[in-house]
Amino acid sequence: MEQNRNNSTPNRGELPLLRRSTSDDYQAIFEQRAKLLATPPKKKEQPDQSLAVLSFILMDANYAVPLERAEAITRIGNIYSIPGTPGHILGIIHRRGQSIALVSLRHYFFPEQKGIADADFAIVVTARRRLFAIQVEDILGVNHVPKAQLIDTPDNMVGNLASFVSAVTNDGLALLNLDKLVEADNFGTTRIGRGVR
Amino acid sequence: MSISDQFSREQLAELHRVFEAEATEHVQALIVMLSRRQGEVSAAENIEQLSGAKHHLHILVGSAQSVGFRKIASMSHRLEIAVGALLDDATLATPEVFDGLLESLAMIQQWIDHPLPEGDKEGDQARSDQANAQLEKLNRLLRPASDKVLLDEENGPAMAGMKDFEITQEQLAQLCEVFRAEATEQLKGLAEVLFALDEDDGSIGPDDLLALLTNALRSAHSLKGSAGSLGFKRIAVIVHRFEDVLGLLEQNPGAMSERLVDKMLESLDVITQSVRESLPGDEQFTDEEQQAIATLERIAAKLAEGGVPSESVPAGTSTGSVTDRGESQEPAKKKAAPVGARSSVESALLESSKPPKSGVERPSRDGLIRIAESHLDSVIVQISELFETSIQFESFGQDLDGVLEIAQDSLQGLGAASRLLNSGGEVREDLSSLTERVRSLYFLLRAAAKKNDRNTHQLSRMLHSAQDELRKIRMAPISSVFVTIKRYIREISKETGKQVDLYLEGGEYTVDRKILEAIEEPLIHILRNAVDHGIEPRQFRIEMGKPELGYLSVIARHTGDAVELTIADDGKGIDPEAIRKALLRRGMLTVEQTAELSLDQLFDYLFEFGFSTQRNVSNISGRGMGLDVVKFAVERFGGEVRLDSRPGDGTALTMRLPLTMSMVRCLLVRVGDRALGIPASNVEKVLVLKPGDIRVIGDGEVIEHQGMPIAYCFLGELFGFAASPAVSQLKDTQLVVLVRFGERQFAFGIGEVMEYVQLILKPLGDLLERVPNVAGVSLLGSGELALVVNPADLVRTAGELSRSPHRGSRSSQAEAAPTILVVDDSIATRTFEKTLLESAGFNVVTAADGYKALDLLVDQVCDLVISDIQMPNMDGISLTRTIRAHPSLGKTPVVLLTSAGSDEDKARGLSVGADAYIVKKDLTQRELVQTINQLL
Repeated sequence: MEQNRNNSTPNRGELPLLRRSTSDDYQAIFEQRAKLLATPPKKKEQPDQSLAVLSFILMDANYAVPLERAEAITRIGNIYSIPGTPGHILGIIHRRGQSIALVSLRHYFFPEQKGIADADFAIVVTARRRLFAIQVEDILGVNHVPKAQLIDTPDNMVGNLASFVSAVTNDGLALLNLDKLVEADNFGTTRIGRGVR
Repeated sequence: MSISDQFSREQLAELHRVFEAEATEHVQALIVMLSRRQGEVSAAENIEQLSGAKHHLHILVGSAQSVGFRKIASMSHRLEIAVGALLDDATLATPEVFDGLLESLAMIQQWIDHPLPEGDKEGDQARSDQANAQLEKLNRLLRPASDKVLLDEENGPAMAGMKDFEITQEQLAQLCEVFRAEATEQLKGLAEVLFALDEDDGSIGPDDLLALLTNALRSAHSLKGSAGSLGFKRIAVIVHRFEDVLGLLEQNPGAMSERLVDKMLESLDVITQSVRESLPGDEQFTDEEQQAIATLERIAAKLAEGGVPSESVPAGTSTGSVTDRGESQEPAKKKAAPVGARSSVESALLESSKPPKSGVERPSRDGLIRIAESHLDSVIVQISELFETSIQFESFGQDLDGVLEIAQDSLQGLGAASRLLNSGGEVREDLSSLTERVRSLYFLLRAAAKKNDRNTHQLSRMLHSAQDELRKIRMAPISSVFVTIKRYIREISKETGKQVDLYLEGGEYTVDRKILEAIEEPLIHILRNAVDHGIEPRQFRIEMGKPELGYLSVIARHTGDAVELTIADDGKGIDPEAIRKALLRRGMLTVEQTAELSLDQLFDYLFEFGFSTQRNVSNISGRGMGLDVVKFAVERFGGEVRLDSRPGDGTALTMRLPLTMSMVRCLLVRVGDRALGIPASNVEKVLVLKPGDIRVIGDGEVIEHQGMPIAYCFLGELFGFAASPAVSQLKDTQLVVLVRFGERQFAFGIGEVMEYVQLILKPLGDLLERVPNVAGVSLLGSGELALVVNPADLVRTAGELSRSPHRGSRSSQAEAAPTILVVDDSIATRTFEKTLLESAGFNVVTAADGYKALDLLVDQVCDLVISDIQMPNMDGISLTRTIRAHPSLGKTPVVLLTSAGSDEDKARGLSVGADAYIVKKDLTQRELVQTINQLL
């Protein structure tokens, strides 16, 4: 699995090596090293100024959920589909003695979109005291997103997505609002029993 | 205030014991997690492990803080920061860091095992030094890359970004949750005391009365304390006033009156509401709260003056609104004179901070402990998991038996061969040697199988016993809902002006407390219906020759594996004509249709959402909301609801509640490739039918059983995952399960009967609380999940399906649905394609790679293959090539469905003989189905 896909800047610990390089490369390498060493070390955000998120890939876009809501990352071993559930509920996965509904956000956000993608990872999350799993194509890792960089959801978001993204970052990471997802009437089947309040 | 000031020595010791056990579990889990990390793990597993470790440490910090183990809390918090640093930057996660973390955990475990005696400053200093040395080591390993500060607070900066031992939001939320649960229990207890005082006919002696009031006072005092300490100031203030009144009543029990009880119950309602809704730090009183405070202050002032706070009738002299016979079966006793002055009335108000009276013995706890429900649930989940492991053990034992059988056969074969070749020098020796080796293998396997059997049996026995004990912990007496019933009847009687004689029986039976919680709201609906719609006004009852007081009974009885709770009234009953008229008024049925309905069928409509026979809506009932809630709540955990009523005589509603929500005996069947569990209590019979036994009548199918036609439906068709064999095409016998729910009966076609088995019923997960026809799932020994059906839903849905006008054409279909083999190494993609194709009416089988697909193709007739290209072992190209070269499979259509979408990829796929090539990102269900239909 490719890690930190959206973090393309090499860090200071990845300085180019002179070993096995020819003399012709030296100048270029020296320049590259100088450039990297001149870069001030990345400042860690203060906890109250940044948000720890777990980011992942879905349909070639980057999404994230607050890290505190992520209970686990799991490779999907088996999915047991449950008849009578909405199409975006792929079924249940069995984890540590518990059944957990596996949700395809791809189908929930973009029900009309064609195509399928191999997505064998799931992030188990909690929202409003409900535990469920989100099917993802790849895990990017844990990021600390500066709160100052979070901007409102742009108007050009399509499908159901816009309603469930609480903010986006400058580099296009969309932060999902899990509480809102769980509260949506058609997300789960907690309200199927007619008249139940 | 330190923790030792808040608790007695005994309480503190108990808290420490609980902490020790809990903390040890967390440390052990952490050691396992962090030790595993030292092996090769994937990036995703790494994040999972570290997130889990961080979570454990976080809980450990909170637990240690809450019992005052500052050193453990501090060290754990720093380890939490360290693990957080590893999560932030994977390059820090070196074996040395993990060794350091494990050493730190060993140190914490030592502290947990050997707590320091109070005031041991020397020991405390030694531990500080030990901690600092350990933290310096970790700092060295994590620095300079990490800017996290791990030093102990005594020698350096404190925790990054937070004050030492400041409660985090998450911890506060947890504490609030615990507080709300405890407060609810305490408020219930207070209400019970008030009821006991109100109902007292003089049988409570002065000492018992004092003990009751003292306990109530203690409970209120404790509630006030917890509310105040968590910042629930509004609650603390009202409870403070309530406590004042209780304190004064303790001095003057004779001042207790029915009116006073009402007022105090009202204030308990307000407190209950505040407990549910208010947040820590919120100081804005609601109008109701202000009113309750004013009322309680007024009562306290009156009591302090030595008077009786209201002019109402003293307790024990009933107004006649509620005659409660309690839980005994004795007839109602005539209530005696007022309790009377048992002690002199003191005028002074007790100080709000007055501690509970010391001279009174603490009520015995009978060895009971308070257990957080979340902990109990977690233990139950773990035991279930162990159970599943045990079941898989059994399955392994069966596999081993199979191997053993082969070894035994081989041994016998070799022995026979050896005897035949007894004249053949070297060959005979080789065979003899081989025979000896196989013999050794056989004996080894036999010993292993025996050992496995013994272990499995022991594990299973222990687990059964542990699970039984745990289930008992979850059980609660039905009497725990009787308080709610008494309370509600008291209120509704006053509201409607109808006098009710309430009779309660069978409170001693126990059921799962989750079930009791679930039926509390439905019970209120039923009681509301009984008093508002059922029991007639007093004058009317007199004219009808009925007793003046309406009679309402709530009786619990044990029946087999369930408890039946019957709520009956002697009111006017339900008029079937009123239901018929309501059905016509709403245009739901025609006159002819209503005429054909039986009484049970008519009553069924009362359980429909929004259905009411009442033309007028009152603030109590008549909106048609109620019985549907009852039905939903009861059927949700596998219970049943029955209604019986006779016009003029009254109505009885019976809820059949399973004793436990977790175990259910089922008939396990297979339909298509799915295992389904049908609760055994609803299975009437399993029949083997010949092709002609299922007949098509109109739009539906029926079978005849004992001379009666019974509607028939193929179970796979109902669930939509296995196409029904058309009746006209049935060549072999058909297995049918007769399922009964209440008065309804239905015949379901199935593929195979597996066995009768006790299943551990598990919910479908938090997001799927209610799925039609499904009660839950259960893990089988094979590792397969079985769906456990909901018989109530099943019979209802089957009835609707059998009346569906489109169904008749299906019955005469000429062909059975084609079978498609889906081959893909991605489980998610495989499952998605399967669901998509099944919903389009195909039978689907799946395989994870080319080899497995070939095995399946040889064993089973498949009409078409859909395959991914990139797969381990044998890819889609090789699979297509092999199919094309196969003498009998060669003509099977193959569709390649893949992410590789270049022209070269397509050309390559088609060149080996694929009939169609679809790129995954362009896939639509329509296109896929069209392609399949063209190829078949």
